[in-house]
Amino acid sequence: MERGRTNHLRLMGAEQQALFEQPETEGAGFAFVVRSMHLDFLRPARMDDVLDIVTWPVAVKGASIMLAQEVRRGEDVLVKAEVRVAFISGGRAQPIPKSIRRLMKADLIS
Amino acid sequence: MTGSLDGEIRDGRHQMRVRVYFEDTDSGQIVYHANFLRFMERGRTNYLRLLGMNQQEFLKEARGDVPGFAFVVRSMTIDFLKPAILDDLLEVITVPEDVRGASIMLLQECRRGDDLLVTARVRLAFISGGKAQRIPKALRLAMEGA
Repeated sequence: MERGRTNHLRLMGAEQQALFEQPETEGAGFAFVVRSMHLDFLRPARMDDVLDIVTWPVAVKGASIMLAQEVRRGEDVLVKAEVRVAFISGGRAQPIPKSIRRLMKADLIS
Repeated sequence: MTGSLDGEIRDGRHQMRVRVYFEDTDSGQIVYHANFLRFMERGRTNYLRLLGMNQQEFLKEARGDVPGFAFVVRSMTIDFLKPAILDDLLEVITVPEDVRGASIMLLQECRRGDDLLVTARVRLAFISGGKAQRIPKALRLAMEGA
């Protein structure tokens, strides 16, 4: 599911490297960190299974983003997760950069 | 005897120590969050081990009633409160919160001295013959009385 979250950001044009150009990310050491997770392991997966990792935003606040994720095998939902992500820069929690908040809000299903 | 390698149970709480190595850290130089799940898995495993999971009496009852058994994680709620860094010496604490017929709820913590880094609530189910089964009585009693 980490790969799903990373690629979600990547395809939104917010590759973590590209954030270097934004003012919030001046100074070393900015990163997204996982603050909390709730996971339900519903069904097992086995060797050779082809899984779909589905990721979508469910809440976009100033200091954190809540993502919902599912691991599916065909129609079966194997794992469900809710993951809260915060933004760290200069070793401290910072507001989520506006560009990312805007992109995520556009995909919110309310 | 493996002595302190598996930690110890005291007052119903299991405690074991984990050292942070380079392989546990990420590009931000802190312990990558999913590694805390691995540390806590070790805590749960050693807790069950010290409760006597691999002692003859338990195995005899279990194998008789429920051959090919295993514990599986059904759900977890985890809060990552503070980071851990290279060389930190962590304490993984595991406490049974609720032991019902077919599932166990464990509370776990990763601490560094007085600092609480991670908390988790983990629900385990007991599987045998590919199906959920009741927790064997011997294990339930051991958790309730430990």
